[in-house]
Formats: sequence, structure tokens, C-alpha cells
Amino acid sequence: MTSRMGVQVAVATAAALVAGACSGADAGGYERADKILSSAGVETPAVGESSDIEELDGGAVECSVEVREDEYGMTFEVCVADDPAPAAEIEVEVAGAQQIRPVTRAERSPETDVLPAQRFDELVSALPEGPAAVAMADVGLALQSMDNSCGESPEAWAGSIPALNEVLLAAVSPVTELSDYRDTPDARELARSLIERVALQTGCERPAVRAGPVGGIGLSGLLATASSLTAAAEPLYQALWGSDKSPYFYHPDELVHRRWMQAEGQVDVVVVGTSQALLGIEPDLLAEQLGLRVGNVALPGAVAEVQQYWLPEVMVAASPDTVLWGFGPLDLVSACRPDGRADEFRRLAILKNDLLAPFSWADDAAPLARLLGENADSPHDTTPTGVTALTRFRQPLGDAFEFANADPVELSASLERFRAPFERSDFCADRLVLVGQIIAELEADGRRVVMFGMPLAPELAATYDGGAAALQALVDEAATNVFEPAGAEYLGMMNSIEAAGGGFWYDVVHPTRSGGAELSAEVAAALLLLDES
Amino acid sequence: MMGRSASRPTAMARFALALVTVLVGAEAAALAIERRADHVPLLWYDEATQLKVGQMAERGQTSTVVVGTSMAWQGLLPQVLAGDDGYNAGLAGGVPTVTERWLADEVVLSLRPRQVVWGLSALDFSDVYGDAGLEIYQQAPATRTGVLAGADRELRRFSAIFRQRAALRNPSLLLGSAEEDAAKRLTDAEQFLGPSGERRDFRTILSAERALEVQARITPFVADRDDVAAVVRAVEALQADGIEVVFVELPVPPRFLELYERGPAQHDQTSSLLVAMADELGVPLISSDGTYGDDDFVDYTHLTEDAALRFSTEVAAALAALP
Repeated sequence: MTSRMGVQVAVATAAALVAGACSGADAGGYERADKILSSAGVETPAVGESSDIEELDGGAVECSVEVREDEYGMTFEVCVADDPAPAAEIEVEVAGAQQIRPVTRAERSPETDVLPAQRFDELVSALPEGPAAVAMADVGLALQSMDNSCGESPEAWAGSIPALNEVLLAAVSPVTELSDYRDTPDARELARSLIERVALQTGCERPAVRAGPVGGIGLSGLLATASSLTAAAEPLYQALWGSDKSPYFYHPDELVHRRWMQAEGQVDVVVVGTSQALLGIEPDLLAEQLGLRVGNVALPGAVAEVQQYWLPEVMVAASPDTVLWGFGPLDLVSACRPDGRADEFRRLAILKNDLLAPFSWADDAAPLARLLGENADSPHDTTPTGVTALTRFRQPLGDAFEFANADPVELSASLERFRAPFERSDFCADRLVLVGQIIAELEADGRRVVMFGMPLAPELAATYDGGAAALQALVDEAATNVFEPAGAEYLGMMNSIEAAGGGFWYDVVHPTRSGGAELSAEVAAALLLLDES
Repeated sequence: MMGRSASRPTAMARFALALVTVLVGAEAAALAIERRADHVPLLWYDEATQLKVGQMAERGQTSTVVVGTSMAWQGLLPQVLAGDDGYNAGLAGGVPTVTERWLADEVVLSLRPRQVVWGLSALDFSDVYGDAGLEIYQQAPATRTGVLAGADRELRRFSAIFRQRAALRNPSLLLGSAEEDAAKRLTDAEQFLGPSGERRDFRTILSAERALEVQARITPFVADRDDVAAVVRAVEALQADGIEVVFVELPVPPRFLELYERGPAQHDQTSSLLVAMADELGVPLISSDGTYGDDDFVDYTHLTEDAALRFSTEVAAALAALP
């Protein structure tokens, strides 16, 4: 394969020379940066400059800027055409970098006893008779179709978004004569309802299972279309999609867990930890052997720094008697340098609160209940949802995990990914201190905390100086010096798993489904033994 | 009353003595670490950067210097671009906001280059990527700014406590593994660092996790105004010093393009941005025509050894053809 190299020599234009000569007045480089970005026509985070909106609106027009405030207390600027043009030609521009401030009780809309997402049909039925009402009814049908595929086929669900956008585009085109409707409170509510209905999947017929990838599904087009109804959709989008992981939630599994906790209410035991515990403990098997109500609310990547924020929410939602925390060598050796995941969890928690504040139902004891849907079933009714959710999360890349079987290739590849901190004998001392504090707080809250040592594949353990025995000693030492003094009990599971036959490991840290079943049985047996003693 | 009053100086003296004892003990422990381990504390952005600082100090004046992220670090071989008179100062995660400071703090001062070849890609301008790297750079002891940072650097000159503060904080380092730990980190960095600063990590990593990681860096893909402004400032500073700047658009594999939220066409935004940037700043832009395939990359962003050689050869020819 050959490569032709194209050389473009950008000759310093008069504009560049002038700009360069004036660079003293642009010490931050931002004036020239803005000129470059504008010239390139690329998208920037500044609200209202997305290419989708520009394409939709057909470019800028002569206008007067008006500052408005919507019913949720968000201020925004609207560029209103001096010469009234067809609706689709009005450029909507919202003030950039707007912070969503807390909304006072007086500012709250009186008509917010349900989520905007749940008002879609009502708002469509209130549309004036005509082409717009007919077209918007088609949008409703498209949404129903998505509700049907929700939880069934992630690909079909995500793939139906462009089709939905096509229908919506027809509904908001000039021929439907929506110009009088634009920017009315109902129009804003309708746009918001549409975005939240899709983003939060409130109509999902299988609400306990993720419909599809929440992040990266390309809602930009849909948003741009909805923006022709209202300017308020844009700041909403900014807030909803500020995370590269998912709106509102640290990880898609958090949504699944919250739905499960809402449906289940108070339970006896919750399993917490990282993806190791998520894939390693089958709550149904544990429940059967213990005769207790058990849920697994472990989250991928949720080391102790994340657990300090997640556990209090679990305590409120599920109020378990016992917290079963999978904590092994991976927690003590890997990712000691904070990488922002805890900050991300906290940021999204604050975001949730900010977004929910404008609604009157935020006064409820459990405002998230509305967000999670009213008919949430246990995710454990049909499949081990932890596995399902994670697998679905991977699928959009076309490179889905199959945790059902051991994978020699993944075993080898994951060894390369995880081995460095083990070879360096890293030790997360600060994390261990935090674990002790969390345990002490849970104990003070009247919870029983049982730590169980998540095992590792022998291939990874061997990279540590002293091998599996040294790692076992490390966790045992943590148990002796931190877990137990803080009030927790400890189940060392590593030795029993080392003796397990082939097929236990999917990669060097995650068990296969059968491996998870085996570990669950071991943990259940150890728990029963602990109680007997 | 008398008794309590009389005992106060004694208590203060005891406290001072205890404090001195602790400090002396800590200094002795820190010195012991240094002597026993030949332990070099990490002062820079990462281990590779620390090694590069040494390499650059040894080299002195160098005509052509490559900068950019690990894509440029691996893809542009300085010995192909400029023979012995070239050096690759690329950094892992060296997005423009990081590279701007790296150029000003160290590269230009150490190498006094005639030409800076800046390899750029979508990752350089993605709004959701790069902040962590900048944070690490800004917090590294050698590159922290402010009064406390200056004081810290001064204290490091005469006190082992300050030089070995990280080691003292981590009990495992005091328990005998300090030398192994430090040596291992540096060995890892040395293993992938070529003599002219180039990156030589050709391990194939095509896992789903890696794809997710790269995808997260470009999703949603919008341009970071701060990074564009950083390029503007850096280029203006280099040009003011009479240093020629050349942009190189780095190739990416089709498997990278598939990670975009709205498909491969979204990558065109990067090309448009580079063209606009080159035009505005009066900088030549060398672009690949996009014919590099998946087999030319070891992962989602980094060229193979053969492809890096081929790409560098093509860039060298384009550089030679510049007016």
C-alpha cells in the first residue's frame, strides 16, 4: 500500500499577517483560535454552535438578540430574525458556558408533577389540528416502536434513532406550519419531553434491562431537530450529555441497579465492588443458598474512591442488613493514582440533583423513582443482568464480550493490560485507609460488613513479586490491620479458587459465567460457615 | 499555678526536641533511601519525560524537533526527518495545552531548534481528552508553578525529605521495594524510548477495552478551544523566536474512524481544522492522504514499526519540498 503525501503550504494571508501583528491584543490566542474554528466550521462545546443546528437552520440570518428565561429558570439568548422568516430559518443561539443554577421553589413550574418524558402523548394531543399534529403522531408511533425493541435488541433500538429523526424532521418542517407553535411553553415542553423520553428510555417495556448504549448513540441530529421547536433543548442537552459515559449515570449499570433497588425496596444483602464482583457474584445463586434477598450493585471500576459516594445511595435505596464487598489484590495494587472516576461519579450526582430540582416531584422522598420508571422489575428475574448490561454496553463496538466461555486471547491480552502495577509492586495505601473509614461508617450505621478477597488468575498473580502467596498475605494483612479493626468480617477466597479447574477465568481478573457461579457458591458456603461459628 | 507555669517551657522544649528528632529521623530515612536505592524521584510529567529531559540536556542544539502526542512520538522518526540532527520530543498525552508548556519550559531552551514539526490528530483537539494530562503536567514537581512550587524546588536541593517525599508517604517504599519500584518504572520507560527520543512500543493491543478507551477520547467529538488557542500561542512564540513550524496531519486507521459517534466522516472536521489553522498561522501543513490501513497500526492510533518508517520517509520528502 502506498501513500501519497499532499503538501499544503498555507501562505500567510493578509488576514494572518494582520492577526499576527495584533497578537499582542490576543495574548490568550483565543481570538485567532475562534477565527480558526469558525473558518474550519467544526463543532465546539460552546452552546449553539453545533453544525447540526447550522445545517438545520440554513445558516445565520440578520437578527436581534433577545435574552429569555424559560420555565425552568434557564436563561438563553434567541436570535430573532428582523425580517420574519419561515420557522426553519430562524437561528437559535443559546448563551455559552451557562451554568444551571438552582431553581427556587417560586420558579418551579406548577405543571411538573410528572417527568417531561411522560407527557409526550399529552403534549402531542394538545397540538392544533393540522399537518403538524398528524406528523407528530407519527413521531409518537416511532417512539412506541423503540419502546418495543427496548431491552430486546440494542442494535435495533439505537438504529431506530435516525428513523425517528426523519419522522421528527418532517413534523417540524415549514410545511407543517409550526411557526406559531415554536418557542411556546408547550413547544419547549414537547422538545424536552422528546429528548428525555429517548435518553432516559422511560417508555421501555423492559425497564430493568438497558435498551442500548446510552452514550454515543448520536442524538445530536435528534436534538438539532428538536431545537427547532425550542431553544431550551440545547442547555438540557449540554447538561444531559456532558459526560462521555452516560447522562446522569456513572455507568449504564448504575441505571440498572437503581431500577432494581427501586423495585425491590429493602433487601438483606447487597454485593458491592468493581466489575470483578459484578461478574463474580450471581445474586440469585447467593439468595438461593442463603435464603435471603440478595442484589448485586457492584459497578465497573468502582474502587473505594467511588464506593464512598455510591454506598450511601445504596444504603438509602436498599437499606441492606449486610454489605458483601469484593475486595482483592486488584484493589490494593492497581490504579492507585486517582484517574478522576470518583470525581466523575460525584459530578454526575450533583448534576442529577441540579436537573431534578426544577421539578415539583423532587420534593418526593425518592425523586429518582420518577426517573427510573414506574414499573421497574427486578433485573434478576430473567438473566444475570449485571452480565447482560455490561455485555450490551460493549456491543456497539461490534466487539462484544462473551463472558460465558474462557477466552485464551483475552486472557493473554488482559495480562498485558494489568501486569504493570503488579510487576512494580504498587500498593494503594491511601485507598486502604479510605476502605477502613467506609467500613467504620457502615458499621456505625448498623450494617454488617463482610469483605471477601476477590481472586486473580494465576497468570497475573505470578507477575507480582512473591506470586499468589505474597498477594494473599497482602490482603490478609489488610484484613488484620484495617478490615477487622474497623469492624468488618473477612472471607479469604483466593486459595479455594486457585484450586479451581480450567474455564474459571474469562480474562485475568474477570470470571466466566460458570466461574462466577462457582465463586458465588464458595462465598455462600463461607458465609454460612461464618454464621455458624 | 506556679507548677503549671514552670512546666510550660519544659513542655515546649520537649516538643521541639521531639520535632527535631522526627525531622532528623525522616531526613536520615530519606537519605538512606537515596543511598540504598540510587532512587531517582519522579519530578517530571512521567518517567519517559524525565528520561527525555536528560537526553535533551545531553544533545544540546538540534535542528529539527518533533512534538505532539504519542501518535507523533511513535509515527515520526527524527533520524529519518533530519538524520543525527533530529529529536522526537513527543509525550504520551501531549495535547497542545501540554505541548505548549513543554516547548516553552524545556524543549526550546534545551535544543534551540531551527524547525519544529508538530504532529497533530483528532486527539489533540478533542474536548473530552487531555485535561488529565495537563493536570499531571501542572502538578509535577519540576513543572509546577507558583510560590510554593518554587519553594518546593529549592527545598529539594538540600533536603532529602523533600526529594523523597513520595517515597516517605508510601510505606511500601520504605519497606525495601523502593529501589525495585523506581528502577522498574524507569526500565519500562527506557525500553520504549529510542536514542533520538522516538517511541518504540509496537505491542499489538486491539481489545474491546482499548477501543472503548479511545472512543471515549473522541465522544462526543467537538473541538477544544483551549487546545486551538494553545497551538496559536505556541506557534506565535516559536515564530517570534525565528523557529519554523510545520504541521503534520497524522494518519489514523479505519478502525479508529469507526469509533466516531457519527461515523468516519466526522474525522473530516480535524482535517478542516488543521487547514484553517495552517492558513491562519502561516504554517505549512503536510497531510497524509488517508491510505494507511488497519494493518499499518498496532492499535487504534499508533503506527507499526514499518509504517512509521514509511510515513516518516514520506514526511521527510514533503519537508524537503517545502519552499
